[in-house]
Amino acid sequence: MIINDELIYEPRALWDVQEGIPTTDDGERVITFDRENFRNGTRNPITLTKLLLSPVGYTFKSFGGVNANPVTLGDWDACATAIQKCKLFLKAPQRQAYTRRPRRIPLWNGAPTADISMVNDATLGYSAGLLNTVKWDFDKPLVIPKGGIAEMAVGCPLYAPAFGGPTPSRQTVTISFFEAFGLPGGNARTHETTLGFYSGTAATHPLSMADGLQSGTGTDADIYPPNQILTRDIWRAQQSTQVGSTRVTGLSVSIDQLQYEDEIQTAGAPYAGVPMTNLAARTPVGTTRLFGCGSGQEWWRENIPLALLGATLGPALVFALKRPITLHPGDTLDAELTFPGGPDSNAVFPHYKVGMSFTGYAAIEG
Amino acid sequence: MNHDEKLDRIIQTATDNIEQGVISEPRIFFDEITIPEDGTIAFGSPDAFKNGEPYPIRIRWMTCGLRYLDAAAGVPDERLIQRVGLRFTFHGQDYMRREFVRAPVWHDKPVAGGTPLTNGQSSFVFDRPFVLSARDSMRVKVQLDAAPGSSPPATRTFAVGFTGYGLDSRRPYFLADELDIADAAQHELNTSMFRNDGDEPIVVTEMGIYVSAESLNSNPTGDIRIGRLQINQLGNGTGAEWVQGPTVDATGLNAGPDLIPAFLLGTQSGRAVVHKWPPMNDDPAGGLYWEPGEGIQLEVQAPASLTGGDAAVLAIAMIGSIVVS
Repeated sequence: MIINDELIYEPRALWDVQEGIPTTDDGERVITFDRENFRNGTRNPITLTKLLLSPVGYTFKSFGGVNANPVTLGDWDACATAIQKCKLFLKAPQRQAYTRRPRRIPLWNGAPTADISMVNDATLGYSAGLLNTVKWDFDKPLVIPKGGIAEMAVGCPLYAPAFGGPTPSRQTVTISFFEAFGLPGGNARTHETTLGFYSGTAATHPLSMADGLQSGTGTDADIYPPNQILTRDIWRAQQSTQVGSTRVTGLSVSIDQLQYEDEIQTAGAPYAGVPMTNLAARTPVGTTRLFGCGSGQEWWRENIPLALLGATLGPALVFALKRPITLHPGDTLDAELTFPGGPDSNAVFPHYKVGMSFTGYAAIEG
Repeated sequence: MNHDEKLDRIIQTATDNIEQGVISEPRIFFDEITIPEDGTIAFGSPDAFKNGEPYPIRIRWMTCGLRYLDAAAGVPDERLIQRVGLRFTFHGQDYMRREFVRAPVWHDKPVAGGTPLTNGQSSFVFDRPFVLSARDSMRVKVQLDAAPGSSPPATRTFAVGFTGYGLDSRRPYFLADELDIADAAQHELNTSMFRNDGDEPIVVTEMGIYVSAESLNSNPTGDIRIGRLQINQLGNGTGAEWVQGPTVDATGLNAGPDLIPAFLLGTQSGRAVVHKWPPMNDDPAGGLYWEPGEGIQLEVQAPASLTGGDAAVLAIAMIGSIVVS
């Protein structure tokens, strides 16, 4: 493909995660997303085309008990709480606010990006979905010149609660990049690798809520173990850019979480029998960038929850911006999250944790 | 392109086809492959994905999933599709790559229906609409992979519908029929329900398939995986069966090898892995273009002891359309 505007387009995602835990019953609370996390700190303009909203760090999709007030905080470990009760206020530079007042998250019209759902019952299981895949078709193809290399790291998910079962041993994560062109006459292939997938517990996982994950207090440095990275060596070994420029159209990450789901179901009450979330909402993504070509900048701030990259497929709510937002160098966005206050009649305070990302591309002079 | 413009284009294409004597019909090739338990490679039935007709076929989608086995085994674990690797070879090139690529990586089109719906239905929007002329009808053969419970006797409802527009009036048409089935034998839906009794051709754009839960089951979500069907047009059109199955029933499970598992037709919504073949260098329209005699070779591999000794059968389809002039 000939790029005639002399620009290179690299994927970009700007993101933040915020959490609210009301402690008194005094109405709605507002927390502000960190505007520095949405600032374009590069010297190239970034065009944002989609807004992704996802609960982050939850184990279950919904409260699995009877329709009654939760009794313990663990009963609130259900992502529906965050995505259905919170409201979002968004303001872009050079424009008026997107909404006059905070707008409930389900009202940000979602594109159809969901995984195929499972029928949850005791014989069929309570798995998150049929395919557990996050996919992002880039708005503009990423042209990697001859010899260019990309690298991507997918981190360990944090298991919470610590359900006490054996650590699942047969998990894998599959990282894929897709090329344009089908056969015949082209490559149309993936740069893909399937890797062992390890996990942490709160005792070993050091990522904090500010990193997009919750409760990690440990000091384990192996958040991105070497065998969970699509490394430069793997990329090079696949020789995908050996013969010339390659047009990369998107990426996907599939997590095989079958054993994790099965182990949770063997843990008994209160974990068994509750529909689970995709591990993408508990898994950080690390350094991802080009080497030997492009800007060399990271495509997103490290530790972004994987769900916040699923602009095409995944568990996030994806809102396609009718008019893309272009952030020029130094620009940022303002966003606020409103959540209900107050405990319920059992004096249990829920927590609301929502991740927000904008996906798009940076236009870089070639 | 807004809805009116899309409709104009569909109608115009159908009109042009009629004037030029061009017939366009869906074509579906499928195979069923027992997944080896020892990690070896399986090739499926010979020439299952080969154009045996004297006209070109364009393949738009690949769909796949684990098929229903029988009443005793059911589907071993539907999620195991995540561990099944696929590779296609076409004119000496491997797709998507030389190594096996796991099925979820192929899934590039969101098809999930609502949770209450998705288990029981498939929605198939045709690559190219076909024309159902006045007095034409459709023959739809249906079958269940396992008979519903017999004590007390139960049934499953198998429903099929086609939707389209009148070529002249542009009014919508909806042709559908259903049957309550109590056994595992092959049945035919009532052709009079699919007949175009009007005085204008109908441009048929899509079809829906639904298989209900057993009539006595308290869980009403249905199970599209247990149904199979075959379709052909009566009257004009090629008259050929749309679905071409494997030449041999290698799995030993399939009483009607030319009837396709209904979930494989869920290219629009359903519960199959759906891969849309990408645009090509010289053909931005995309898809695989098969001249007569051309086809593609499939290979399947899964980790050893994938199902712990239980049988698992991959059902896989290539879906597109034929153009006859």
